[in-house]
Amino acid sequence: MQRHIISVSSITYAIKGRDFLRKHGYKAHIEKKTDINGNVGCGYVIVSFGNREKIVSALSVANIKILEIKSFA
Amino acid sequence: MIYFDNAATTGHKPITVVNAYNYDLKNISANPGRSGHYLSQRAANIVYKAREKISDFFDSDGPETVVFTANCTTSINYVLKGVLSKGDHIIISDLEHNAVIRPVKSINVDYTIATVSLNDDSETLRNFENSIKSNTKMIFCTAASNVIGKILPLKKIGELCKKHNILFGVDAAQGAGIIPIKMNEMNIDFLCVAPHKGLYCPMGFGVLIARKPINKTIIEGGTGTNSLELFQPTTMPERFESGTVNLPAISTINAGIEFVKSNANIMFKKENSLAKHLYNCLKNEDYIFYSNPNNNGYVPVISFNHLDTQSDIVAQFLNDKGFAVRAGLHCAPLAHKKIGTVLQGTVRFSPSIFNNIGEVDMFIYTLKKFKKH
Repeated sequence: MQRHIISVSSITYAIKGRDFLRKHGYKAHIEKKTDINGNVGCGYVIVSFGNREKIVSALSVANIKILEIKSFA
Repeated sequence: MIYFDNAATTGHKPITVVNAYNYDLKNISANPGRSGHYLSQRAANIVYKAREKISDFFDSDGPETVVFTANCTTSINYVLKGVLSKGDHIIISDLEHNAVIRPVKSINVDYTIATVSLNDDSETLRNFENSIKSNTKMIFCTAASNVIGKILPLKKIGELCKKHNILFGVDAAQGAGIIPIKMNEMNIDFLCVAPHKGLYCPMGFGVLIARKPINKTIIEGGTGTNSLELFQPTTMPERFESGTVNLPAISTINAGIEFVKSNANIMFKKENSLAKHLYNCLKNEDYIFYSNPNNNGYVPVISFNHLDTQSDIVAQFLNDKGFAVRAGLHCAPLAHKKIGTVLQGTVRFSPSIFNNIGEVDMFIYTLKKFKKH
């Protein structure tokens, strides 16, 4: 299962995204990172697992802007 | 002491609010949205859930529209100073608190004070509409007067704003939790709330709900994100939350709103019946009332005086007898100009759901014994 690290703009959107993904059956949690989105400094990422396209689509439905997404096998 | 100064802050908090505050202070004293450890994330989650609760309660557009500020006055300053620019015109009412008037004066924009009719909302609406100019950017008004309790016709003013493409901001310090305020339904763009009043939360934080962008910030600083960027982030709500928020106080939002919701059917009715009882028992004595709680369109906040006695003398007498009320101008000079009490001030009686008829009877008995010195 693919693991995705999804950068969003704030802790508020990280929680909103995490809750939305969990509500739709995805495993998701939040981590703090210092090198997100082209290294602009601290921020929060959603770590989730599953189909990348479906996760991106779900977050889009929730109006959550993804700054950057890194996927790992 | 018997507390009738609930318009200043609700004097008794529900035990659920007290427990939420204590629990948070004891168990989750971590900084939300700053660190990545478990407690910090738990704290951030509490703040987020509070945003969701507030957004739902006031019918806003989601948790990201809810900003936690230092107090309701700060929220109002964020709106007025963040939205208005030189050349703009704003309409306020003649019942506004200094929390509105002073920021308006300080930013030096063109403003008009619209008269609120105390018995005809249609006239109030006409007065607002007649004040609109080609450069009117916003109507900002109180939900209810903190001096005489008059409720403004928010839904109608919201319709007026929509019709003329004007922003609508509301100071809900005296209305939130007392009367239904639904932002979408009433077309309110900015709502400023004092949770320590009608939501029965502790002092030390305010709420700003913004459904429209606020361009300018008046406070900048750390937001826990984008640290290498030297400009304030644009993302809501963090754009307006530099510095650490008051987590223990915010953690009480759920309990406060649930308390209000579970008592919604009786709260206004009970408080209003206490105000009516006071009015009906003293109206034929040596007391002058500036509003009549028997009329519709008022929250249970009433002002009165004993003949021409200075209001602070009556309040001090009541304090000595064990009653807490507020006297003076209540930081609302326009309202006092309107009712003719600038020099005398008024004694303000504002009950909460925790007061009872026996306490009001003792209050009435005491006031009947008051003699002008």
